[in-house]
Amino acid sequence: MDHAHHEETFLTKYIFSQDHKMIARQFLFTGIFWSIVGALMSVLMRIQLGWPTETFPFLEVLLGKWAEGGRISSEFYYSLVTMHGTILVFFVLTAGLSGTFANLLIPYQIGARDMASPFMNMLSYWFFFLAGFIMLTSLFVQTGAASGGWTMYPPINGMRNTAVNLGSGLGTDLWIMSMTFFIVSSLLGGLNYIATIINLRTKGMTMWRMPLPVWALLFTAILGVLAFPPLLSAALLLESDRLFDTSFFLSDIVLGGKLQDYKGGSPILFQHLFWFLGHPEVYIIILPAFGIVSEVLSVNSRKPVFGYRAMVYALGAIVLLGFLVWAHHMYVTGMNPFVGSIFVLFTLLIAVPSAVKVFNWLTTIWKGNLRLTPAMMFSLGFVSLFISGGLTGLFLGNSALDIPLHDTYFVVAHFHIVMGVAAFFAMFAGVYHWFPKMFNRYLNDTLGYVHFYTTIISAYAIFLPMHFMLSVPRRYYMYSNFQTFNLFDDLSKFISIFAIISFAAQILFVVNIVYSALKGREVTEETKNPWNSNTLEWTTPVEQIHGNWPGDLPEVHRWPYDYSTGFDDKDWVPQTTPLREGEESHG
Amino acid sequence: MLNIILSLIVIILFYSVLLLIGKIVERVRTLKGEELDYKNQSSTHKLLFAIYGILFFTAFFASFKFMSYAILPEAASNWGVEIERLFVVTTVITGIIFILTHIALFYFVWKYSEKEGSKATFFAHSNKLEAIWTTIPALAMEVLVIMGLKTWFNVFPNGKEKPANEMQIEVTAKQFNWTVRYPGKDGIFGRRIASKEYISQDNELGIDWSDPASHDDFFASDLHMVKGRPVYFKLGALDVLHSFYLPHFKMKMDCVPGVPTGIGFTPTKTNDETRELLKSNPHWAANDPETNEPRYKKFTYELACTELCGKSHYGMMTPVVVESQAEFDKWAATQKPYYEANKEKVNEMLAKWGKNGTNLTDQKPKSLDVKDILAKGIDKNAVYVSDGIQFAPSSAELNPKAKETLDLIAEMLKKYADKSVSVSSHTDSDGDDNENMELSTKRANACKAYLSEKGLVDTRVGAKGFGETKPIADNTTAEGKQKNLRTEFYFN
Repeated sequence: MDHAHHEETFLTKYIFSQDHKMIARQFLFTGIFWSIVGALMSVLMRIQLGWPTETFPFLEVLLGKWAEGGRISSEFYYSLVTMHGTILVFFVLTAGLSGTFANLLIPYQIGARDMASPFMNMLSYWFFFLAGFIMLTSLFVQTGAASGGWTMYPPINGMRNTAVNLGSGLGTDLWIMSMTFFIVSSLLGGLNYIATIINLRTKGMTMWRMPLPVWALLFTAILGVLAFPPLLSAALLLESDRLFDTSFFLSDIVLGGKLQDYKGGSPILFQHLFWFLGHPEVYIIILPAFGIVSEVLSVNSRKPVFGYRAMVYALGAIVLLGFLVWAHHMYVTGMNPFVGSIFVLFTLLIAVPSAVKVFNWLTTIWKGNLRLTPAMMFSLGFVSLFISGGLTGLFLGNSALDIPLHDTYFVVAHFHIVMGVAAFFAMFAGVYHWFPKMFNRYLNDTLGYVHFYTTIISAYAIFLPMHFMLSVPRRYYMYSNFQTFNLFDDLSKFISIFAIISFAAQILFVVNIVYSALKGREVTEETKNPWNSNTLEWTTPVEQIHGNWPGDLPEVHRWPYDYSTGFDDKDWVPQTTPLREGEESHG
Repeated sequence: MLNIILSLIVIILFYSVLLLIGKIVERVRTLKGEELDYKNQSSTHKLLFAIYGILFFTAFFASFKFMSYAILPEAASNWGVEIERLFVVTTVITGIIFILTHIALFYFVWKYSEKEGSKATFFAHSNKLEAIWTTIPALAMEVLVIMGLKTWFNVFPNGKEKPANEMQIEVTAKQFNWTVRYPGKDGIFGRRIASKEYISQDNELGIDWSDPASHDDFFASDLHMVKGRPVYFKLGALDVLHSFYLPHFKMKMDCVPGVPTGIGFTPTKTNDETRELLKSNPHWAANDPETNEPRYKKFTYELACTELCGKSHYGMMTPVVVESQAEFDKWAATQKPYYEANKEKVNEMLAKWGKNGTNLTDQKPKSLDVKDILAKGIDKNAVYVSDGIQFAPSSAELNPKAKETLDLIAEMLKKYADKSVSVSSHTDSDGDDNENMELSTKRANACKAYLSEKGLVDTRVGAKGFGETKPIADNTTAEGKQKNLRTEFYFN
């Protein structure tokens, strides 16, 4: 390959780049943009929930008619609820997390020069960008952004002119259009990742020698490719109901004393289609997190990840079971109780591979030689959060318990910890760990530690007490209509204050990234493998070239986790080192 | 504006100072040659992480004390109590795992952080260990699944016969309130027809006022239930999804337009009894500044919506009362049936529809073919007229063929446990009006008695005779008379 020779213009190098490393950076920065928008929305919601009766004049300055008199209106509040969920789930934790690390790590860690189709990879980013652009536009339309919940349940989102719901107009149309492009992006990316991992592994890189992030990203891509198309069809059918008054999801609707023409559809059908994606979606978010954390824990424990194959089998089991549990989001929709019971069984079964992963992580750090870098701290934090949030899943997965708990703050606490904060922690760990590879500079450690402690303390301060609000419905603009729910004035303020602290800590992280990418301590040729890591990405030269390795691709001779084998004094052996005489092979 | 600019400057200064501190620490470490040596960092952060761990456990245990006021008093329903037990068992099992794994996490970081000369132990896998921690969670899950499903099938008995004294209440949700309908003295709801002609501003539910069962139905602004008497809520929604949530009873079920749902339980505590329990809760025992009395004095149960349904989703509150049967009867007696209270509106509607909807095009009676219904399901909007049930002149005795038909109806009702039937019997215009009325009543009651014998509880079968008051055809021809002599079945 004559990769070193072709001329790059600004446009092909930074904008329409086909280089996986650049695309990874594009996904990272777009993801950061969206997380700031999404987090800002949660701060606005917390201002309303913490001080429901007070007025804040600056809100009117910022938001105009949506916060007349300095108080957020209920319609805008429900737009915030909807858009916060959409942005965080899809634009940050799906595209931002897996887009960044799939692009960065897959070619690097399997020893490939780039993705199987760099062009498709570029399209994947630009469809994502387009989706984001449309979603952003929807925030500025006159009738407001979508406000019927990120799950887009009909009928509230299935009728264009539900007079009592402003955001169900153009905002929702744009939402659906944006998600259509998002799904195209995700399919283009996913197919590419699968093709790359299957076909472009370098010599000696057998499947069982792949680092765990690559395994995790492979399973993520498979999940995405299988689960997103049903959502696409659901979204298109929903739009058809909205625009052409078809009745896929609508029936027997009475508005203002008039029976509407919709006949024979079922809102429940939409929920099935939605959650057929929606549940695998949480694994699409958390599997890359598993991969990143396994790698970071192992490298910084100077110890192989415990039970490498069991980790891979557990990922496989989660993917398989992940497709058989979607209806646990629908226990109280009036489904046949027998069907519900099947979903209970599969849902609680997922706890088994998840438990295996947790125990294996704990055993990985057991008797290790732990190097507490910021990346390591975030990985340890991830393990804690995944345990805390995973266990409350055992309450919600059990249909009988879900009857009272469904759609309460217990659910909010559960999923924010397990797929929100935990996934973010893995993303942080990944950024701190691979930043030297991405930007040839280090992030500032001190700010990293401050970021870690502030975030984990405020995350638990927000979500631990929320578990006790287990009888209080979520998505309430305020609670003063109910004496049963109206007893959390102080707690709401407490939570809101920590939400704002947590937001401030994330800004610190962004400051750190921007500053360090430009002016941080530089990586030199001697320190190009700063963590003494075995995997292939650290064997590439400091100067980043299109094609990754000058000359031949590296050849792999061993699995990626030969840390502290005791064969010699060094506590690491890169994958490119041939097996020496008398050395035991581990894969 | 000045405020905003000043705040921005303060924020920028704040981050600049942090950044500066970060840079200084980094520079010092570089000068010491420690850039990539984390041993000093590790010893600092193993300490900080341990302190964080102590804080974490303290907060965890303290939250049970400080947040206890948020927990509702013991559930006020039979299934609620069972669900609470399941909740406690799950909390204990998950609590043990939570504490043990977190102790391991904090202890390992404390114990195994790198220090001068320390080394990691190579330990890549152990089939025995992995077998252990696959099996133990699997067994624990088994326990939770079995316990959970036991309760689940108690709450939703699949196809079981209903309790005999069950009270039915229909709750229909719309933006942004609940419509509560009681079936009245006969225990049977007037049937509803989802047709454009039946549904109007005054009749959003589409109740067919020509169905005699509708005449004593009443709407209520509060939800009343009887302590110790099973209650079943027939749920529906008019516009968008809503969810029927009774927090104190630990019961919830979605209301879906076009798809009927329902949930049943037995209330076990009156409002007063729960009020009593609230005395020990610091929030409820505290004084309400408005009334200058303890808060629990004003307590009532509440019904809330838990499915995002639009801009006033948070305001769908209906008070709920649990009382004794006597108190309930007293209350019910004060509630006027809609049919009586709004005679004018009802008559207007009836005039528009005609008897049994005969003025309308899409409501022709269907002939009762039970086998067909068993195969295809009940069309809840149809009127069924039976050819199978014919009586000898002036007799109210069921012939074998009639019994055969009624057997099939009984079978069908057992299959559709949430359905009920009302029997209306009619005669032609021959003979004395009063005798005709009496005869048709006897005939309807004979059907009801027979169905009761077959094990159907009284509340699921209504019976009424109409004599010659509701002809559907011309009484001057023999053919017309034959049509008017009929027994009809309405399924709800």
